[in-house]
Amino acid sequence: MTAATRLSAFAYVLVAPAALLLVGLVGYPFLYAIYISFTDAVVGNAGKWIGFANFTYLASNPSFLSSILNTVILVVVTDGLKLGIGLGLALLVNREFVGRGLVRSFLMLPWAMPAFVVFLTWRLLYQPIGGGLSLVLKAVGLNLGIVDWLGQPQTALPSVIVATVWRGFPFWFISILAGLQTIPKELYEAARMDGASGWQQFWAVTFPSIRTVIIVTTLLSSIWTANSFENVWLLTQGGPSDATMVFPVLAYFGMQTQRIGEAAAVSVATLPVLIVLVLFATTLMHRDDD
Amino acid sequence: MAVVAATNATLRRDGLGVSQRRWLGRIAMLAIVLVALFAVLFPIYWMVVTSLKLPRDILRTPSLWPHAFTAENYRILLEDKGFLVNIGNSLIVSLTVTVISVLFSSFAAYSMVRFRYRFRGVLGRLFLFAYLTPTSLLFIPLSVVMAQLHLANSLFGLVMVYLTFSLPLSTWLLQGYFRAVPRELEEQALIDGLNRFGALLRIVLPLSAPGLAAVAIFTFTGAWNELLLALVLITSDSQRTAPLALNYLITSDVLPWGPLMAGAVLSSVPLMILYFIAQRFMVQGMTAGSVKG
Repeated sequence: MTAATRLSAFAYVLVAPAALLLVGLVGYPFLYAIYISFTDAVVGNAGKWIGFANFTYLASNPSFLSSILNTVILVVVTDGLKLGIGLGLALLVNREFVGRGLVRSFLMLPWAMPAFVVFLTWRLLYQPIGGGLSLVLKAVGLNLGIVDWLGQPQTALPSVIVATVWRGFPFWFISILAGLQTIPKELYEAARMDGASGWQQFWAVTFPSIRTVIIVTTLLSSIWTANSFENVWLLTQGGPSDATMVFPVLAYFGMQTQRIGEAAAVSVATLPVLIVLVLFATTLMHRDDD
Repeated sequence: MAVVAATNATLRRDGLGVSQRRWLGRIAMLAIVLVALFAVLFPIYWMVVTSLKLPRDILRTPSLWPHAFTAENYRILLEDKGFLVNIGNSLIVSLTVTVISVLFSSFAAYSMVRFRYRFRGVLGRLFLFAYLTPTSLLFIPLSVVMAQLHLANSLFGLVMVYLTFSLPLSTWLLQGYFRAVPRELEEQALIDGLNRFGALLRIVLPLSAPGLAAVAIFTFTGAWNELLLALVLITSDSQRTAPLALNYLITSDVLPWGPLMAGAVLSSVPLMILYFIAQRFMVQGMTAGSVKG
């Protein structure tokens, strides 16, 4: 055995435990999910191949259709809000002012809070009686009476969106702020010398420097938001009457009925979009050392 | 010249002096920062304050300030609901996941950063794919696999399935830290008679200590926060983790908000303090590899 082959054998040995665990715990279940979505498997019975029957059933299932629509709304609206709030606050905190470090630390707090704690707390905030939200609105002069934020179809999804944005914006804020801090000050000085206004400086200097950060963050956030379970599960469980149903919750309900083939089909149906997002994200994130 | 012209133009446009504009800008900025801080801190305040309110005050006499403070909710949660068992289960699972994950992923990350071999690029991509494969897709097949392995309803089974997200994340983050370790230091160690494994243990890992700490905290938090897989796999009361125990408190008609918020405080405040203190490491780690938010 030459030194070179010994070295690469050592390299394989090092990577093997993690790689094998992932093949067994991610790769195999991933393929298995696709397989059982084409069967009528139930818990304890592998079932038989039924082709696209689960998918054609879903295509006419109102809960599934609402879950797709709600997931798209949830992803697009929360990403837009998180980008706006994250970018705005990052631009503010990137300036010099007294107490800036402390402000940054406080703005990061929702990110440090476990998701289940966040959404349980927001469920309490949204309570029609004794919920903090109504009390705050009343204190600032907006007395709306008793509003059952999570209980009515018109307000339920916006309420889920607000809580999801609250938990998710710090990730955007920190990522964008880190991007802003890599921009050399000289670039702004040069732009000012050329007579660029604040707005022009943003588009000529700031935006090009954080464009990649924004794209990667958008892709990651879309993948995570589309697949998030805790927000809807702990706030509304998909209700009232599917107004906030999203596909992870629907798949979980499906699993409770024991029909796992059908339940798996709910997640697998969204796979084509997921794969496109993941391929974009990995291409931008993957760094080869050569 | 250009600067003067531009300033004159803005002066003409809105008729305000430079200093007035600056003051207005500062006030607007202060207002936005205050509103943002309030929006972030109020829910946290509400969680803490509700956990300290008398159960009868929470819904019957709602107010922004508590009428009286009580530890009753904590007593109910810890004594009547046995929440300490759940915290213990969560600690066992999260610590085990963290140790296994940091160990295996340091090996894997070191291998992919320092060596050149045939499938390295493919492996790197596979770790990323695994990182981005959502739990919502995996929970159904994983529950079947765990049942076949007779690991359903066990904390060890939970540790196994949590590796699905912690291993790829920690490998991905550690690669970033290991790249920053100068190759020369390792080569010097090899000349001094250490083998490659010795170089990893004695040079690379100690030099990446802040990175290892950040990765350990992220891995721990990921396992500590997980709900969906625990919900699917754990069926007996004695094996429930903290999020799972709180989840089962909300399945009744009348929600016990006091004990619920006491549980929320106990499961989040230690972590939030940790993040607050270790903020610098955490931000570096997060921006190096984009941690789930």
